[in-house]
Amino acid sequence: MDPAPWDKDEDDKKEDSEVEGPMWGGRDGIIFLIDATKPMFSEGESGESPFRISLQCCKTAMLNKIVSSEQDMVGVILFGTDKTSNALNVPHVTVLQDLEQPNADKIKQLENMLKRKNFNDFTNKFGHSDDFSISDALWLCQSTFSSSQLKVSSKRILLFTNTDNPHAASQHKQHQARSKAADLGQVDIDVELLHMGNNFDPSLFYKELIQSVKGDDSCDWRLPNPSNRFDELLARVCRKDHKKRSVGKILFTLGDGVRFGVAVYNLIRPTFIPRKALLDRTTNEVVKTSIKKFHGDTGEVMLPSELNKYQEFGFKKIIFKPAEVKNLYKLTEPGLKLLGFKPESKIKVHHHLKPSSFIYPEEGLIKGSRKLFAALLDRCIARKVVPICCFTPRTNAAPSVVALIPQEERLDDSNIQILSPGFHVVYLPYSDDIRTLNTESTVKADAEQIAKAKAVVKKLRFPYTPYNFDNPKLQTHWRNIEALALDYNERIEVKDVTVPDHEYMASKLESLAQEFLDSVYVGGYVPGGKSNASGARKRVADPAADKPKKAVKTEAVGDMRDIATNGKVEKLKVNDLKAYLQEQGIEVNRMKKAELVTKVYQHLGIDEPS
Amino acid sequence: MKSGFLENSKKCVSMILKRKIFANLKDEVTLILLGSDETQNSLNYKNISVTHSLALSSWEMVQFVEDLTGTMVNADWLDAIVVAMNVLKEETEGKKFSERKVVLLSNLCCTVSEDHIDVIVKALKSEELSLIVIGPDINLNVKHEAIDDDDDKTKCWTNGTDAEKSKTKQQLVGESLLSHILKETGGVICSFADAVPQLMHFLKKNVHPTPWNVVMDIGPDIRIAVSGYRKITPATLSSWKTTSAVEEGARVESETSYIRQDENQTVIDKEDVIEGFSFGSTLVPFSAVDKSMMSYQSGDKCLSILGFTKLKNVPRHLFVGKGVLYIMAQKGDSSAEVALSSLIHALNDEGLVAIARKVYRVNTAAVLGALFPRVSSKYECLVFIELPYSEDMREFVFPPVISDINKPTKEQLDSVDALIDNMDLRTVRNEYNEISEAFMSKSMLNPFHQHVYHSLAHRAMNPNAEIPPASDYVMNLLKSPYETKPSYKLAVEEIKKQFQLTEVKPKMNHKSAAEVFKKGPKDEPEEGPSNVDLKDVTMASLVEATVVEVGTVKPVQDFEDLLGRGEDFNKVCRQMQKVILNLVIHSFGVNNFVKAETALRVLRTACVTKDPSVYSDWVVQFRDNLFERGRKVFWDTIVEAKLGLISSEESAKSSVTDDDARKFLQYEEPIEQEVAEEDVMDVDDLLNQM
Repeated sequence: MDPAPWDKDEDDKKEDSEVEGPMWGGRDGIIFLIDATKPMFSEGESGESPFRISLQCCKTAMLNKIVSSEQDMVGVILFGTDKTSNALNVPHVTVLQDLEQPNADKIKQLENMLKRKNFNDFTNKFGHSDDFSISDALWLCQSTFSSSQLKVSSKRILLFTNTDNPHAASQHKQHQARSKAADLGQVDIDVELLHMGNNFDPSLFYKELIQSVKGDDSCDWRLPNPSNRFDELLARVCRKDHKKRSVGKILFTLGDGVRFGVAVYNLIRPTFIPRKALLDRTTNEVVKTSIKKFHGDTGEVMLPSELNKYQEFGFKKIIFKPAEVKNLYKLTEPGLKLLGFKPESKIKVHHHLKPSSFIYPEEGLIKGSRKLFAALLDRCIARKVVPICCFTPRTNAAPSVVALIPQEERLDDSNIQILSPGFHVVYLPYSDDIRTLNTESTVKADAEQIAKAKAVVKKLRFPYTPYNFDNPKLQTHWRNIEALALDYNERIEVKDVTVPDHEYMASKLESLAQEFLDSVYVGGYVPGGKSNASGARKRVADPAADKPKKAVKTEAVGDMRDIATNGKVEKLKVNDLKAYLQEQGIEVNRMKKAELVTKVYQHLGIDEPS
Repeated sequence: MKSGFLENSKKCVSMILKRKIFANLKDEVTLILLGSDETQNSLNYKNISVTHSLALSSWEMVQFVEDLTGTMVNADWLDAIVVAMNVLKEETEGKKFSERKVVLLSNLCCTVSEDHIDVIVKALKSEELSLIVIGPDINLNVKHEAIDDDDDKTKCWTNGTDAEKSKTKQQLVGESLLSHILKETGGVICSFADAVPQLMHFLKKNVHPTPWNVVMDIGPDIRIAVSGYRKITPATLSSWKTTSAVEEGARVESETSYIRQDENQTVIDKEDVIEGFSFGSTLVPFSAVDKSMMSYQSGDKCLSILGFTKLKNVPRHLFVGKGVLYIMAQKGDSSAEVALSSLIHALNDEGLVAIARKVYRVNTAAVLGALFPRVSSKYECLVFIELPYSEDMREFVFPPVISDINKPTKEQLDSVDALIDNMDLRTVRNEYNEISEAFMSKSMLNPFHQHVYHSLAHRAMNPNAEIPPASDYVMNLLKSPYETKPSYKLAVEEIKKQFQLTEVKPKMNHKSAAEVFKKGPKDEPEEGPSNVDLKDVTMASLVEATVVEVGTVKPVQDFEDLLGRGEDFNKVCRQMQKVILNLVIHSFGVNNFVKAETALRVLRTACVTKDPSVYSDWVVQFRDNLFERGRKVFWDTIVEAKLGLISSEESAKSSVTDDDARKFLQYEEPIEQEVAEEDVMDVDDLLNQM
């Protein structure tokens, strides 16, 4: 899509814009290949059949796709049906949904299947058969990928099953499946196993199948334990349903002639509400936009070659040719350059500039990168040091100074990776990015007050994880679009998880809140209340901090209303006026006295004497 | 006068002026020359001229300074100070300035009359003028004196080099006089060696911190009046504006037009454009009514604490958003200060952070963030840093890095250890032999911003000159202090020895037709001559080469060339057929379908006149092939373009009836169950070869 009209100032963005978005490097293709044999329909303890759980995963993953990367293509293929329904007549395989961009109808179809209490209709329509061949099913997936009309840059098959040895009786079929799997690996189609059932034994058949896909010498993968619950399986699908996409592959220079390759990833980036599409009212089709520059007086269209760039400083337009502006960005070559090491403790929490990136070794640039990366990671973790580097993410990007925070791989109980091995690239602020605040604390809490505060915070502890917080704005938006697209009668209410549950908090705190308040506030103090800001405080840890200057100030605040009612504000000194207004949170920058006086009257809602 | 001195002074003054210009400061500057040929000042002191009266600094002033040349005239620097004081007094009358400064740049070489020194000191004091002197390295004795005396506000910097050597007697007299004045008035002196590096960089505009006032809540009862201040925020440069390159001063405006995506590219009115959102490939029009009814309402401005969590639950890499906000008690509210202080210390002691919801203004997006306690020597505050929502997390899984097959040896690990040992940035000795930490944020300049400012200043002063490449000064900002150290070089050499690093030749980025048909591992050498690897072909041979066979790159041209040369019709047609098959069957997606269609049409036309059976016999086979290999899409193209059998109506030589030809195109996929397993395997094998 063309840039929307509000993107006018392309220059501002250049420096900071991250090359991202779903179109970067083409689209992903995913086929959900679901086992539809009888065992998949037997309900487990949870009352949900593995088939239903798989279908639910498909639907949720499809909805996620629409939200996160709607360009991606998704298909649903069933194997082990009695009926045969596919373009190539592969026996006992049914194509439920062709490989296409997800849309409302596809989701509705799955929803309708899931709405039913059982799958009897499904059985009547498609039936079950054990006479299928995994090899055929995989071949159909491969063929589906290659006949796709749109270019697919990464191809993945997610195989859902609860039968650990489908071809127990046929050595021949087992062999065929493995050799087909190896073929898939050759043409860069990945297969992931989503297996269910407690007694599922991957070693009987599937482990070798997956190994064939990944290649014999690859041991960079592992199978998690089988899942039985929807949320478990979904979590695994979410981890597998998109290809890792790096934002760039660059060289990391340690010193003269010693370089290795790394790929840069953005593991966390804000998801925004998608841009609006502009539609032609008459046809409801998408329209393109184009921005033209023209002469302000003559109205003549101006070509890019007739335009220059300028900035104005010191009463002078400083003019640059567009190419010269571009050239300014060519300060450093893309890559990471080692500057030295610092202890990890030197990287301060409060020096946060922007979201970090992540680097992982890339053998594709330099062979041997993995080994050197491993050694560096190992030593940095062991010695708690961080490499400090100059980082230029791509050509025409301004260089940053970054700290590389090492991260050791961590797996959870089910053998699922929760922390990836590699370095986080943390941007360090430049002096220009840090503002000077001339603030000084005057009073501190005493031990008793701190103890009361501790009692409060201890009661309200919870294990934070970002996965528990959905973005209410985004969710509201998507639920609304979903309701419109899927013709729901009512919109789905979104619970705003960022709103604190005051009732629950109060029940946890009981009397502790009041005890805390009693220890820090006195009498009729109203936090943020205007006139009562001078409310006396109890127990000041450092009595010397109670400077006389302060007293004068607060006094002035209390009196200001009186002064104003008497129309005597202009009698006050500029500094006092400023101090008062600043206390009230009013901007006083570069204001003349008359303006300050007016501001005071306005603020108090009292008429200014003319 | 020593020219080096004048050059340094010019550099300093010019930088001071430029800094003021770029920072858009409202500071006003006057320029007074000491030792000018002319005399031009209201007090009529000799050889002192006020060339620019008090005004905002301008490029004209910078130019004037840079064009200055030395004179042989002697002038009294004390006189100059008096003139400066006089100008400041007269010209600042009625205007309000927060500060008034006299900056003297002199090597103090000239004779000076000390008669009125006490009057001068008195006047400086009573007028509250501060005196800054940039000059030669001041006498070391004076320096020591100044440091020993604690009450003395005189600040002296010197790099301690052999400052005494080249000084004249006159300079020493001047120095002692000057140090007396500075002592009395609390002025500042600094040498060029110190001043130049400090002035070389540009400063950003100072932003007055504005508080964001809010009452923070913890549950329904606890409320604390706080203010948020932006402490860190990515500094930005002024944006570039567009101007006409052909006509100076012409206004340039821009207009957006909306174009229908049809063949005519019709422009439609803005009024006819409505908004919609895409739900996958489904488009959902979203009216203004829908929008107002359904959009998310975050409610009032707030800073609400949801709860507290262990510090380790909020690791650094989760931080999102730009910059940080410091949350402090509202100014003058000491009750709030105590309440916040107790919370800060409680969190600090317990190793906890707060998780909070922040709404900046009514109904702006709710931001989730963490509040970290920070206790510094001067102040206490909570540091608010944005945290991601679940939708922002990208779940990538990376294979293990340190594993059994990828285990570095002890020697390899030792070599990395040696590198770490030799690049400690905590203790770096600078050129003045001082030890300090390198790359500290508070002293780190943004090299890109500096480069842009230097380039802008260069263009402002030399409108027609090329922009010079980044100066060494800028590039040095990103150099490791160890770059030239032998111990570091040795450590790097050792790593080179320990690790095998071989560069992989980059692949071509742009996919040419040749690459699309690149040989797979099992591929037969069956491609046409146009498919040769371009890298192995010289330009000359490419130009000279004559076509010997139809290739997939430009099949139509090859086909016509070959026929034109009188090659055997049947043979050339067979080649063409093979190419078409290649284009359709062996390509992913539809990229080559247009090319294949054109080729097919050319082949058919040729056959209509020459030999219809060559086409008709083959196209039946081709059709089956298309269905077998899942290329039904291309079959639809054939049907639409009517590229089926050549009927007797089209060519007298054809024996195909019109009816047969029509039926041929109406063909539906075979629904026979005959697709036996062997057949499947056959097709399978074919696909494998791709």
